[in-house]
This record gives sequence, C-alpha cells and structure tokens, in this order.
Amino acid sequence: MAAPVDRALLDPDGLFPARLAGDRAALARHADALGTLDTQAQARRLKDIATLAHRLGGAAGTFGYGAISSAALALEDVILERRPDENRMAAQARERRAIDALLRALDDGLAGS
Amino acid sequence: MMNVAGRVSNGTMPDESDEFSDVLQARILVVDDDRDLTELVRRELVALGFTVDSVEFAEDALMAARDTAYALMIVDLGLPDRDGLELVRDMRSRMIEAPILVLTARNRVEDRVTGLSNGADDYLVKPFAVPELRARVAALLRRPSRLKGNHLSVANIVVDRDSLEAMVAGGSLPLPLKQFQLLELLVRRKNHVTPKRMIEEALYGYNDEVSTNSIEAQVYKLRQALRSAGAEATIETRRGIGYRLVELKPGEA
Repeated sequence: MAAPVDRALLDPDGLFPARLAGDRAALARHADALGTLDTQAQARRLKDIATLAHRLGGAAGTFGYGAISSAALALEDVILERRPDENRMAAQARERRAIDALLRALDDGLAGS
Repeated sequence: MMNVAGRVSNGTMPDESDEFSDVLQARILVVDDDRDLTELVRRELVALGFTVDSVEFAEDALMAARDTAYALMIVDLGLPDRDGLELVRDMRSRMIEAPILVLTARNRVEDRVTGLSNGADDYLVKPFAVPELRARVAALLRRPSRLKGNHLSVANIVVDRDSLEAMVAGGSLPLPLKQFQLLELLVRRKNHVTPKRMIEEALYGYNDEVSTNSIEAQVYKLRQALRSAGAEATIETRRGIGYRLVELKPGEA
C-alpha cells in the first residue's frame, strides 16, 4: 500500500485546489455542451475532454488526489476506447457516467482540501 | 518562454541532498506544459541543490539544450507544439547527450519501450510519487560518465565531468574549478561560439559578484594553461560575442 501523501508538502502555497476548481468548471461546461452538438463537433469536444482528463489524471495523482486521478484516467479511457461501430447511445451513456464520476470526485476532493 | 528558476544559496543544504552531493550546482531542464507539475518538480530539485530551467514548448527545449550543458533533462511526452518523443529523438540526433527522464501519462509497455528506444534513459509514469522522482533523478546522475556523455574530448584535450579532471595528450592538466568549468563548457560547445553571458551563467551564481573582466581573465589563464600543456586546440576570441574552442591545424600547436 502506498504511503499517505502530505498535500501541504506537495503544494505549500495551496494553489492546486484552484486548478482543480478550474478543471471542474471546464469539464462541466464541456459536458453541458455535448448534448447540443452535432456528431463532428461532439467528437472534437470529446477530444478536449480526454485531453483535460489526461492532464488532470497525471497532476491530481501526483498532488495526492488519488480518487480524482483515477476518475480522470477512467474517463480518458472511456473516450479513447469508443469504437466506431458501437451503439452511439450506449457510448454516450458510458461517457456521461464517467464524466459524472469525475465531477463527483472533483467535488469530494475540493470539499476535503 | 524559459523560466530560470533559482539556485539554492551557498552554505545550507538540506539533509536529502547527501546522495546528490557530487552533482550539486548541476543544471536540470524540465520540459512540461503542466505548470502545477513543473512547479512541484522544480521545487523538489531546487531543494536538492540543483539549478532548474523550465520550458513549456519543445522548440524552446531544443534551444535551451543546445545552449546549456544540462546534467539531466526531464521531458513530458505530451507537449503542446510537438510530440515529446520527437523532441527526444531530435535531441539525440543533434548529439545532445544529457540523460533524459521521460514523463509518460500512462503505464503502457509500448509507450515505455518507444520512449527508451528513441533515446530516453528512463521513464516515470504520471501520476508519480515525489520520492520516486528523486530516486530516478539520483540514479540517472549516478551513471558512469561514458553513459551520461560526461567524458568529452576535443583534439587531444579530454574533460571528465565526474572526476573533474582535465587531460591534455594523456597527461593530467590541473585546473582551478572555474577554469575547469570554462573548459568543459567550451569543449561541450566545440566549434560553436559561446557567448560571454552564457559563460557567466555557467561559472557564477546569481548572487556572485562578477567584475567586468572576470571572464576575460579566466579565458586568458585557461588559454595559457592549454598552450603550456601542448593542447592541439585553442580558445579563439570573437570580439563582442564570445569565445570558441577550435582545433589547431598541424604545425600551429
């Protein structure tokens, strides 16, 4: 089992929660926009979400926010693993669940920071 | 944009720096566009006694690596302007030999293999634990000089960064530290003009007082030492620009 991480040591100026809040706001905006977009624009937006999740997954885990990191990397996987031949509705539902899970993890992380 | 981060003041060293004591004052380049992570890495390395430069773009990294003798480079693979692997490959093709620690976002075997086969020396998967970062940096800096590119030569001059020893024609050339650092810099940049400002940065800390003719004086002394030892290269002055180590033609020595 990994040793517990002291967030205060990793982030002595306490700046990282502001990044989490910014990423949460951006993710929520992306998620709200998804339902209103055509297929091509949706694909571009999902790529943006995957990029956000990718970066957040790497940074949050390093700063001691393991649950956020796991949820972010899971979301990235869900987006990247979408197959062209799969049912679109099913894929969208899976992506929405992963987005919601990350939003919840961000809320929990911010509440505890 | 390059951010030159700062040097630990002389005297007080944290306990953790013991394993790094032989490489203190070494300069490390961090290439990552995630500012939070870069700041965390920078803070850790500065606390260990390193000087840290950080850049966000691959093109800036190439320029920095070409102009500065880094002891180590830490390169994220997901850069905004170019793929990090391309950057690593490009650096190696330009004979930039400093060890490279690649940061990868996923623990996929193919990513690690590709990184290592493109010229990286080690990898660290994000998210990472800070003690692991320290351990990997220490391991890379402990490598023998022939693997780190720290055994350098021009004509019959050889510089070994690890033993801080210079040799000319097989014989030892004892040099004061500043002259050794100057020689190392010029050897690393053989045939390229090294600007005076770069020499100042390499030889002196930000808090050191540098008189107007300090560099000229060091160059003069080193030039004399090389000549006396029978070096087949000399330091050429490019007035108003800097200095260059050039091999002498037969009969010039």
